[in-house]
Amino acid sequence: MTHSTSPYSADVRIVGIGSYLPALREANAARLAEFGVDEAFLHRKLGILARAVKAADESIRDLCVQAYRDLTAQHAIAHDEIELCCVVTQNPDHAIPHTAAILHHRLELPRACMTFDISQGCAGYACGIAIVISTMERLGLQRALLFTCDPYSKIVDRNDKNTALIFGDAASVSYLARSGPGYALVDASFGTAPGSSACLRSDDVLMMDGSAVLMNAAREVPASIRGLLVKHGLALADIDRVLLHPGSKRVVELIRSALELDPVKAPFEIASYGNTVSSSIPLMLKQPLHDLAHRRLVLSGFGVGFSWGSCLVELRSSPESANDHT
Amino acid sequence: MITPEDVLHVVDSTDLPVTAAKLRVDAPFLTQGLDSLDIATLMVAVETRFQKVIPEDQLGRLRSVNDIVNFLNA
Repeated sequence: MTHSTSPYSADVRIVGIGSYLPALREANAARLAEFGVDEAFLHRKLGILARAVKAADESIRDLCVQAYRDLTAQHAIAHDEIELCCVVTQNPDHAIPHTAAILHHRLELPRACMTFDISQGCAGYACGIAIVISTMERLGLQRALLFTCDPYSKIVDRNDKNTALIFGDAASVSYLARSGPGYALVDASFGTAPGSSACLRSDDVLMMDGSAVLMNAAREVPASIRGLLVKHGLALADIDRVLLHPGSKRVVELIRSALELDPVKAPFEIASYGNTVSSSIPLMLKQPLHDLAHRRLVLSGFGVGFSWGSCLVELRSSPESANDHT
Repeated sequence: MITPEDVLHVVDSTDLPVTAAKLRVDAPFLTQGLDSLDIATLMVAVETRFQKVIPEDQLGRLRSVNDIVNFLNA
């Protein structure tokens, strides 16, 4: 692997992920009769047995701060040299200011630090990675934090069968830097299905057309992933893991089927905490990033919009600089 | 010309809670043990098998095997 010293080179990589799942869980099994569904529905279709739920007085910034603490417990972060802080959310604590500015204050980040939010849903991590890394590489930034946090418990109607059993609360933070082992962005592919923006919407309460979400995902995501790989002369056999946004077990199974992937290569691991929207992929990426066991991954998020984003990432290991991100 | 049997073959190729043998072609899916997620799953399989996109405004109208057959042959 080459490692350029130019501040504008394309060597930014994700070197660490911190996460936070609230300890409180709500079991879906307790609500089956209420919604007229059975255990088979939970296990075979949703695949979600419990949902992580934040405390009523926990804010988005609280969740993000907990994720940051988890990050710093595992990685030595050059805190005073963070030059960009971005938060992906569609449920901010306040309309103004942007959540990244609030976090900037709470975390006592440096004055010379760009802050902004990205309004995106389940494709938010893919969008965030592409935007943050592109900005870092264009402007020569060295270190950045990318948060995701969309606690849907704020907007889900507990009596809505379409949404009440699906979403969990979580936050994540990805640390991006130019040295140390991690995953670099090779390329990304994005899209939005025309006329589909009503499939997930909220003024105060979340409304979801689950059938439209599932059909759009099945139509668009496999093609997005295949197109991204073909562009780089790769096939799915060249990819070690495909981390699909785990909207539900059924949607992941449909995409797996279309791409002929098995559950090991495209896991579904949210049974104990639910669909955490933009945090779902970083939660899944955390362990592979820790283990550095896989060379190439595809990260694919999809949902609100209906939008999708797929990132091809590749392991960069620079042993000579493994401690540089300290 | 696509027949009800062609669509029933698609039913059997999916992981739905009913088999083609037990599915009445003239009755709504919702009265035969399929929920909206199952129906969406079937529609995805139909689109894939017959290489035809089902427009959003048609989805709610395809309530039975016969409805799907009529749509595909239209």
